[in-house]
Amino acid sequence: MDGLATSDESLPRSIDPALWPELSYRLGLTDGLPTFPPERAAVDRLVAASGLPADHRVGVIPPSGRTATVEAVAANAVMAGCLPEYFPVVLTALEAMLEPRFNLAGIVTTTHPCWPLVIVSGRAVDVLGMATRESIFNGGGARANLAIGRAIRLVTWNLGGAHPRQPVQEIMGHPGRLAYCIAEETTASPWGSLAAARGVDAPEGAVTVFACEGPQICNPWGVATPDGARVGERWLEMVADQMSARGNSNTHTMGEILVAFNPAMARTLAREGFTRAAIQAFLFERARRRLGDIRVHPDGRPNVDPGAHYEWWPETVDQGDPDAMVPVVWSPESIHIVVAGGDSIPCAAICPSWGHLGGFAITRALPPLAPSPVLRDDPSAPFARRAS
Amino acid sequence: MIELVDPRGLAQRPEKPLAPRVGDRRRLRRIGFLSNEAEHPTGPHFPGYTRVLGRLLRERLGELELHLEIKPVLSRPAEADMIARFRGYDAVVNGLAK
Repeated sequence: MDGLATSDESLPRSIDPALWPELSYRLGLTDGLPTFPPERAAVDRLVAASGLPADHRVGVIPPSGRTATVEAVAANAVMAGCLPEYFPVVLTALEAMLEPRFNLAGIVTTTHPCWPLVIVSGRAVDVLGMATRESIFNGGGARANLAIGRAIRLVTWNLGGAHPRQPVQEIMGHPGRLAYCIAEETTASPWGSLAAARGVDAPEGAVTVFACEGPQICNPWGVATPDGARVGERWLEMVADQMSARGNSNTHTMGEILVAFNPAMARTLAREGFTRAAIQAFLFERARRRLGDIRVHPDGRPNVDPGAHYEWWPETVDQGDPDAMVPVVWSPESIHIVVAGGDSIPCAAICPSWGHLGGFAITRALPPLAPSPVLRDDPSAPFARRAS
Repeated sequence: MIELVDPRGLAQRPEKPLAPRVGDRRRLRRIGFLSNEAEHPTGPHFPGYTRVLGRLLRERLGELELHLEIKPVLSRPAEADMIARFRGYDAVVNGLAK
């Protein structure tokens, strides 16, 4: 099977809305999940919320090279279920992804299963009613989380033409390709937001995009926790161990990595004196592998042959020394820390990346946002945080 | 009835169209190879493939000028100065061996 069919068939100017689901499948306008119809009136509301002209050029979406106008992006956002107030987040995330350094063309077509994770920080989290707690990596039950992530996906699908097999060569796939958006804790983080740590402390909040794999869970099994004992270092050793799995791209190509701590783990680490910088420094030193264990000949001997050297490693790594301890990221600051997830048993999630090849974190400030009408009109709306 | 907006954007020509196709192959005289990867000992690599391809092309088309460039990072587009060195070539083959 070649997957979903695509078509150059023209979209009718108007239809009976009941016909939309089948029409969208026939024209290949969705990756398999149903969508809302990109109705003109709804699209216009999103365009108006952006404060930009409908024909404003957001950028060229790879790999197809089609130009994304604000109106075309809005059409995909409507299909994803975005409310108008979500749209500035979608546009800001997309603009960040289009920075050359992010290498979006590589991210959407590579064999590697990484996908742009949209991380929303600051006031926007509350204003848009985003979920930050349980089930955070699959939306947490909040419309905003999934609709924003879904809009990014549909833009790359419909404007970028990022379809499996041709041209997307991703071998295994990534569930986050359907929608990959999280929101950071605004009050339960002892270290402030990721965006602020990256120098973007904007009043409305910010968006960080980072291409990464799905979360790999690190539960602190086996660490005794007698009353009053300090456990932070033991927990972080486990996180470092998970970061440096032998088959991770990072272990061989470095780059950047994301670590999410749930509030319970973050609180304990902070109580023991760990700052964000201290955690980054600890993990940078501990998340390393012996060169002779990760680059080997078929018989298991360390491979330090000059021809096997990785040209992308910095000169600080002695590639002729099988006992060299190789970090899995470029620097302590390449470890991106967020606080999110259920405030339950201590837990962390590690999201490896595409290493040195692209998808590096990019943070952008958000423009002023209107409060979500879901919260404005229904203060008892489930799962959502309250607008401040 | 509802009015729709096409999520693919307006019917438009991509801003980065494909390179023009090679017409008569017998007129090929200068062929470039743009490799996404360097030679390495741990599996197939594109520079090795271009040596085989170059030999086959010479067998079929006669004397050819062949030129190989290797990108420093496989996942990123080639820099402008590297692209410039292919100007005037009749065809450029870009690839990665997997």
